[in-house]
Amino acid sequence: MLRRCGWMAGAVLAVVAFAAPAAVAQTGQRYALLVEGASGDEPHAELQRKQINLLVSRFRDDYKLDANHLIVLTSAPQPGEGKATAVEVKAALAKLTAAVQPLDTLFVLLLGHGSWDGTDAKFNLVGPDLTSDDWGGLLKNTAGKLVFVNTTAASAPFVKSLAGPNRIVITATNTPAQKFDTVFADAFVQALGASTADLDKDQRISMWEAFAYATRLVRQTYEQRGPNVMSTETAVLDDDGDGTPRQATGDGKDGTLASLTFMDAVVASRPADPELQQMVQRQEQLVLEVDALKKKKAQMGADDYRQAWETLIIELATVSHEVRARIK
Amino acid sequence: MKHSGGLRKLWSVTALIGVALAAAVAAPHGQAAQAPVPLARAVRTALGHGNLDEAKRLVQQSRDAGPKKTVAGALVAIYEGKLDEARAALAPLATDDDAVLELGLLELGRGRTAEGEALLRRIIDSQSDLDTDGFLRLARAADALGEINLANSVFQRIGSADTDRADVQSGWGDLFDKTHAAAEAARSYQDALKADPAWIPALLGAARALDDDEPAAAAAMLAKAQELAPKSPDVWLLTAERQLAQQDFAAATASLDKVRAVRSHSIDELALRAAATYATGTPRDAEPMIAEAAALNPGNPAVYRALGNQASQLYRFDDAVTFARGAVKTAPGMAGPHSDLGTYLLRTGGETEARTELETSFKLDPYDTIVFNLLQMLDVLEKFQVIEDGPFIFKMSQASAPVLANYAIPLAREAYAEYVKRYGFTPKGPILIEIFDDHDSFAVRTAGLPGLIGALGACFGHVIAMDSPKAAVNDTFSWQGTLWHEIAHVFTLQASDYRVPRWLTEGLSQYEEHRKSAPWGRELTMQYAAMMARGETFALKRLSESFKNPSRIAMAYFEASLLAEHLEDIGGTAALRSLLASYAAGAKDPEAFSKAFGKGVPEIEASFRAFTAERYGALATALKPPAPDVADGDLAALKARAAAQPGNYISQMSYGNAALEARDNDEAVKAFTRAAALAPPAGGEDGPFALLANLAIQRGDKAEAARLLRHMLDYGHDDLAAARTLVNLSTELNNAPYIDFSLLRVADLDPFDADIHSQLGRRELAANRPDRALLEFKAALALGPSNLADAHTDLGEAYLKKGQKDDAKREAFAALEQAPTFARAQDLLLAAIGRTSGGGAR
Repeated sequence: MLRRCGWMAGAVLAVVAFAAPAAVAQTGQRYALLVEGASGDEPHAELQRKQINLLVSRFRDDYKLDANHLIVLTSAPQPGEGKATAVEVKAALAKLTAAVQPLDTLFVLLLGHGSWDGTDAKFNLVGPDLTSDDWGGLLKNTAGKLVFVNTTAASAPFVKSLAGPNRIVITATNTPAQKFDTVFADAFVQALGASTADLDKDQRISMWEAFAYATRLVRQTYEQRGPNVMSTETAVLDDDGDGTPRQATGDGKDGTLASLTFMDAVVASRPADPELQQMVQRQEQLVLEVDALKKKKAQMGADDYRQAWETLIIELATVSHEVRARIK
Repeated sequence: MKHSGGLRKLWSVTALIGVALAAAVAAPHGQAAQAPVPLARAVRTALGHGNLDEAKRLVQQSRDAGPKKTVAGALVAIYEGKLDEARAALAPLATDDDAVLELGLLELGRGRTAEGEALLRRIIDSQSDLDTDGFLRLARAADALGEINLANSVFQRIGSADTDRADVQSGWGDLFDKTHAAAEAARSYQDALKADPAWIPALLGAARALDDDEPAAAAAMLAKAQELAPKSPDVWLLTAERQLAQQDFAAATASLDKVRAVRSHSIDELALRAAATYATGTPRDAEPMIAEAAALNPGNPAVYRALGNQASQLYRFDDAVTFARGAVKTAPGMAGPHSDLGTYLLRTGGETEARTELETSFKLDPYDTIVFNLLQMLDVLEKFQVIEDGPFIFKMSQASAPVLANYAIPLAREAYAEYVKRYGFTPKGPILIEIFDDHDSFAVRTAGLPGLIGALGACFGHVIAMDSPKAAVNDTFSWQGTLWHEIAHVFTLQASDYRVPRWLTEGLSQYEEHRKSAPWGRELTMQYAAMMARGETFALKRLSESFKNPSRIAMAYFEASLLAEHLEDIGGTAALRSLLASYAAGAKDPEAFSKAFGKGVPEIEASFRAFTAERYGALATALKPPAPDVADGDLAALKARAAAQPGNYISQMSYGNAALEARDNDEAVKAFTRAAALAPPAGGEDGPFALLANLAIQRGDKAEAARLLRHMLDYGHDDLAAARTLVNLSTELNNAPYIDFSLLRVADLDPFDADIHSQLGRRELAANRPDRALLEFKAALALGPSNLADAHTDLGEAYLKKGQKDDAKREAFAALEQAPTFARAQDLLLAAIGRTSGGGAR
């Protein structure tokens, strides 16, 4: 009863100007469909409501998504939400895929229950369900980048159905046989706003960082349930389009696109103070030089690399410190 | 190599070996069944029933004046230990197979190996056209010559055909027993008893085979044997063995006298007598028995082995090693002495030599599961990190050491200093402490076999083995409490020259835990109070025996710790020292108590009763079973009973749970609150505090939930779930004392949680305790934290606070390698290289 009282809340990341010069700016529009499916019973309904509320708050309040770009479908709709039925899902995706342009990003996340009947993996909606292939078909004509996250049990087949170029597909399980309730949903929702998920400290959480952090939280949850409790879920990610996903801690070709994909908003305004402008430009230049140096590491002697790297890092730290002092 | 029930099957496909078996395919079984029972077998049967008089009568009344009668007479003589007489009778009978076999066995038993082997080899080589008795001779000869596969093949053949022959089934059981296949042995003995329920060797064999897994059944077998054959020396040998294990040395000696009355010159009897003599005296006292046994057979190590076993049971492992060395010297070609020596050396810390001995043993006897397991365990141990620190040598896994060592070593140092002061004694070292990440390795290290469920640590005097927090089998436990407990044993065992009674050494260790941390060692308060309510506590008289009863042992620990506390209350630390010194000098409880307290055992019993009544009397009263019985679902009746009995915990909890079920949370809260007031130590997720905390969370009263959890953790120190929940709640409430308390508790119970160490470190740093912060941050980094950049920066900030700028710079660079734009790490770097005056940007 007192075994777990939810994840420890991490601080929500502030979206700060200037502080993330190395972040890749996303130039297109951002769209999201958040679906909280059939809950089944009261405890699941409560949990799913909590999760969808948190998620909506994240996209609406923290990520500042345009209200017209965010569609929320739930099992028990509240104002501003639609019913999580197949009909509503189809209508929402028709609207979104029509709107999404090549430089845009569409984020789709499924919360609730999933099932596998030996042939089809389904996400459980209110009324008739949609199979993984149905979802694949509905999203087939997405022109921009697609981030598709299925946090439910038996979600693995969604990778094959959704994988493709310019697509990031994340599922809570790596086989349809993993049919037990997952904790990945809770973990992923938390990861999108946990400061500790920000591995490169660029003040933003990429899809890769969210996936990796959620994976870690899942592992910790099972460990904390006791020494004899075996994890019943293994989350995977595919972003090279080949439908062969990888785990966060395993080997695999995937991860690059996810590392460069963010759903938050970057305030890209420039300071009015010309001196500060110069400092920021120098800061950005140094970040690029650090990145360039890293790429040359293999061709350099260890001592030479280290010396050059330390020199750059000290200068970057100095300039960044001055920028921060000025902004204060 | 592990033995299991599959051995019988495995062996059944072993090819039959030797000319004898090839010749035996003629299947003479039917012939034997129709023939009159041969005299030798009739005599063996009488002896197998423990009926020496009947055996003698059969010999005397036999009209056969030839070799058969001589052999039968020799069998009786062997049974009575008149070995020279038997040898003289058998020696001339070179053509009688029974005579050759018995003489061969006799010669081996007297150490005349070459003669014995030659005779037994004749049995194997010259057999043809065998009946069941012939096969049995063949099997016994093969067994004696160490040809285990041949012996088993023969038993496999006659064992499945001659199901009515108790001697065959029992002999097969002996072979399984010899090869450490206890389950298979027990099955064969049961088969023997089906054929002949009075077959004493089978009853005794079953008693041995079942002793570990089914002690009650084993005891019943022995009791049955005693009833059927009250004069059998074999029955009294096993009885004495059991009495020695129970440390009832006077009874064991009396049993051995009964053996000697029937059977003289028995090395087995001498071995056990030596063990009983040593247990109540010194190693020198056993020397006459060693000499007497050596005169009978200079190559028989039984006396040394029994002495070693007894010394080991008495925790005198140095003596055990000495005796085992004697056994190895006596019989270097036998596996048992080597495995004994290896096992005892493991308990004195001589692991290198132990491995050599165990490997030698395993070469000689590849069937020994325990030796196999110990060698496997040593393989694990070999990869451990070794850390020498003062009087200690720690061994722990490479994975755990970077974290565990930082906590275990200071705690061990603290315990050592505390105990040196308290007991006025410096123990012999070094003290080897091995901490295993998997429970089965700990179990094998301790007992040779996996399992040992319920045990967390073991102390052999100056060797300690224990579970790491990773090894928890069912639930979390305080590994620190375990370490504190085991180090106390080092002192009490050594200070008493290993003669302290178990109730006292365990009681003191448990009590020392409680002294160090109030909830440690007092986890079973509720259960003990309930025992008091039922009038089932042990008191000193029954405490020792309760340690031997698995169903009572947990409560025996608890009561022993209370008794230890009471003893210190009435006599101070000086009295505890006096007790240990008295036991070291060989005193028993009455004498030791009289010297330490100036009081007799009955007076102390009386004051102890008053002590427990004062401490737990009210709780015991609250835990009395309520009357009348009320059905769980009868809410109205439960309510009425709870109202009528406001001081009864069970009534309040029953009603509270029923109200909860009926969704009447207000009533549930009232009832649980009353229960909580009656039983403050009531922990667990079904206890009133946890239920009240849940209800408080449901109604949004997080402060109340936190208060309740904090209370629970005062008693249930190992409730990791409650501690984690309190971390979350107190963080939400920003309740600093609760945050500090709960973080520490989680880190104590689960030191492998990186994020908890990071949080703790930050709090320590904020409180300007950089040394403690360093400890926590290092632990976090060693464990692989969620965010490496954060972890390196944390550590760097702690270094900076301590003025270790180079270390701070190194950590800042490490953080910036992960995240070059990380502001806090940048500020740390600048401070470390003197470009700014401050630390990090947190």
